[in-house]
Amino acid sequence: MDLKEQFDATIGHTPATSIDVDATMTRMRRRMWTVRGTAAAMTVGLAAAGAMLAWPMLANTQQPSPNSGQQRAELPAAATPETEQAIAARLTGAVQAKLGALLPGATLVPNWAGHDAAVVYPERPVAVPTTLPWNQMRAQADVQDQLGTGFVDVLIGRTTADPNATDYCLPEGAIARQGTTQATTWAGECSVRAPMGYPLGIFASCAEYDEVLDGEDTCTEQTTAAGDHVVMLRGTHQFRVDVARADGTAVIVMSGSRAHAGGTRPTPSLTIEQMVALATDPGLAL
Amino acid sequence: MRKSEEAAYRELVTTRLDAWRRTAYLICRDWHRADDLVGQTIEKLYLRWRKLSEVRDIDAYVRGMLGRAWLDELRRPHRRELTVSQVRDIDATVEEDASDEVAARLGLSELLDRLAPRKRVILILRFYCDLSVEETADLLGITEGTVKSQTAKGLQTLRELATADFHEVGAEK
Repeated sequence: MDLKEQFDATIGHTPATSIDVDATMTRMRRRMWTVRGTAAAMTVGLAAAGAMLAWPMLANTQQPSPNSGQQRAELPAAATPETEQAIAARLTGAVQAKLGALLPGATLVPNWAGHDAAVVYPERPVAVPTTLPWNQMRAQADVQDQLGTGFVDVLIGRTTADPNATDYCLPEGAIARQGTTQATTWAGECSVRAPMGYPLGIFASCAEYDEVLDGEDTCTEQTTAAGDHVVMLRGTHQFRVDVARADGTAVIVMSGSRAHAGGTRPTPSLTIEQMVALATDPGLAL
Repeated sequence: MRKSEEAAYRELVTTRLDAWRRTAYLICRDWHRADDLVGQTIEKLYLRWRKLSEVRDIDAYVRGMLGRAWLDELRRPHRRELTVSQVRDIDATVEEDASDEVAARLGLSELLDRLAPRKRVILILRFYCDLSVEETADLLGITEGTVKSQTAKGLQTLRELATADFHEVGAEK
């Protein structure tokens, strides 16, 4: 029996699955429509806003209503929480602006995974059902410059769990989050519960560090004047920077050389210092 | 996505679903998590479908996505420490059915559990999914040298663990 057959024997019988391909397709179709609809609504909204701004210039002979200022003052302050799409759009602007400043002359292109270059998208950990809110934001890109092709990968989340998040039930056998318990038996239906919005899994210190990059990694750490704690991992062809920011935002920046894929670039696209500058950029605050 | 594209997507996913679930199970060692992993991966596959026209082997690409998604998940600190309220009992019927096949299955299963996650993923992609060193390196975003060294170390670890278990069993007898 060769190793492949042994693997098959190890798996044994394949149980029935809860995955419904047609339901997945319907859900993803709806999601794509929602994204398109949101984009269309934003376009319409921007056009409407432009028209509103242009209106006084076009009709400057009209006097404003004497009550208009009072009415404006009586409007309640906007208290709507920032939507997932709005956060992603805001962070995209910040990430792209910072990368543009750090890498003048470089071109950002979609990476092997096919995500749009340096466009932030919400990402959910595997254990979190996709019907629940996002857990972290992520942007990826390949970076092309005169030295060759490398990559950058940015994850943005929180250093602590969201205290207002609603608990959810993990699947049977799932592992509860370290430190915040939740591995409790719950009457009847749910054996393991965990709070939503749990934090991004950064290395808080080099003591937590294990081998994640190239096998010859080194780790150093420092705290910046602003109070951001920075853990820096250096591998042969990859660097990783984990930052627990004083403002409660957690950021992981990874950069590499794509040397493994036949690339000629000798070092990662970003230096450790550039990665720290990106991770501590005020624009990345959640 | 056009109807023809959806039909192609549906055909691929329904045809390969069980194979992907089995790969995911080998990687994460839990059927619930394997289903979560595959569920998320086929969603990503749907979103990227049009961009995958140049991918030579989508099946290998998906298996790489599974491995990479799982290793991403393991990088979170909460995944590195097991916290459970109860220890799961081992099914007593297994001991009664002590055929060689079941014993061999349990043996490799336990050895896989004890293997470091990245080594496990690399061994699975290389020897269960039949991916080359280059493909494995590219899909996991690591160097070919790392794949080679981790493969050698992983196989060596399996041998050492199996030998240790064999000696332990022998000593008990």
